[in-house]
Amino acid sequence: MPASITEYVPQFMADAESSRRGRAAWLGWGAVLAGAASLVAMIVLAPLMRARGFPLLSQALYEFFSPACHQMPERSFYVAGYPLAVCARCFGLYVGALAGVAVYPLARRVTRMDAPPRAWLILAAVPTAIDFALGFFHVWENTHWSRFSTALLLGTASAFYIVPGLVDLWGMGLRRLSRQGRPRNFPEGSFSEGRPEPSSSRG
Amino acid sequence: MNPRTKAALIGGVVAGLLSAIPVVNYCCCLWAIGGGVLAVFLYVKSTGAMVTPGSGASLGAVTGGIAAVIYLVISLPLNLLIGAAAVAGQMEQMERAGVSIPLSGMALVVVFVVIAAVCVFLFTLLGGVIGAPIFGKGGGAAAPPPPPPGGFGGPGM
Repeated sequence: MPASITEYVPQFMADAESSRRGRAAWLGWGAVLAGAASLVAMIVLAPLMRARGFPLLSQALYEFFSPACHQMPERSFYVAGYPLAVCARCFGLYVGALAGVAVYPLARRVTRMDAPPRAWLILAAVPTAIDFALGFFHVWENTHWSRFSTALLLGTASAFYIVPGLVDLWGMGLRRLSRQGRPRNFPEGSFSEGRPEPSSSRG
Repeated sequence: MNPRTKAALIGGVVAGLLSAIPVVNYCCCLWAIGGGVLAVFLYVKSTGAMVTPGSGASLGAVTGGIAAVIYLVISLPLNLLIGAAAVAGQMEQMERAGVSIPLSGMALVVVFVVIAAVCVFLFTLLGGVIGAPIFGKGGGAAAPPPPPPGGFGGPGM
C-alpha cells in the first residue's frame, strides 16, 4: 500500500543547501564587486566634483582616502584639471582589485572559501617592490605609468585573496541572520542548515 | 584577555596610530592593511589555530574597529589644532565661490575625520582578509599530541 504524502521525506536536502550557499556566494561576490567599483568611482568623482562646483562633496571624498594615501599631486593622475583622490600607485591597486574581482568567477568558483597559495601574492608584489626600490634609491626615476601598471598587477592578485574572505564573511553574516530568525524550539542545524553541527563546535 | 581580543587590540593600535601620525602615514594603505595582517599573525602565533578567510575577515573587522577609534582619538585633536586653519581657508574659498556650507569649521573637521576613520576600518578589515591565507594555516603554537599510554607499542621497560 502506498504511503501517505504527509510521510514523504525530501531526498534533495543537500542540493537545496548547496544551491542556497551558491546563491549567497554569488550575492557576496556581487557586493564585493559593487564595493570595489564604488571605491574606483569615488576616486574619479573627487576631481570631477571639484571641477563641476561641488567642493564640499569633493573634499569629503579626498578626506575619505587621506589615511590610505599621501595624495601628493605630483604623483597623481589628473582629471578635469584636478588630481585624483589617490596617487598613481594606489589608483593602480584599486583598478587592479576591481578588475580582479570582476574576472574572479572566470578563474575560480565563487563558492570556494580557500585562497590561492601565498607565494602568488608575494610574486605579484615583486614588480611594485622593485619599482619602489629603484625610485627610492634614485637608480631609476619611476613614472606615473610604471607605478600604476606594477600596482595594477598587485591589485589584481590581491582580489583573489580578498574575495574568498569577504564572501565567507558575507555568508557568516547571512547564517547569523537566519539563526536569529529561527524559532527557539527548533534544534539548530536540523533543517535549514542541511546537516547538524556537532555541539562541541559552538563556542 | 583572550588571544583574539589581544591580537585585535595590538593590530588595531598599530594600524590606528601609524595611520594617524602625519608624515608616517605617507606609506599609503600599508599601515591599515599591516595592522589587520599583524592581528591574524599574532592570533595564529598564540593559539596555533587555523584561520579561514572568513574568520580572518571577522578578526580584521574587530581590529579595524579598534584602529578607527584610535585614529579618531589621535587625528581629531591633531586636525582641530593643525588642520582647522586649512579648513577655514577652504571654507572661505568656497563661500567666495557661492557655495553655502551647512556646517561650521569645527564640525566640518569632525565630519572629515570620521569619514577618514571609516577608510581606516575598511583597510584594516582587508588586512585581516589578506592575513588569513598568509599566516592562517596554523601550527605555530599548537601543543604536540600526548604520548601513548605506557605498555602499548614498542618494547617498553
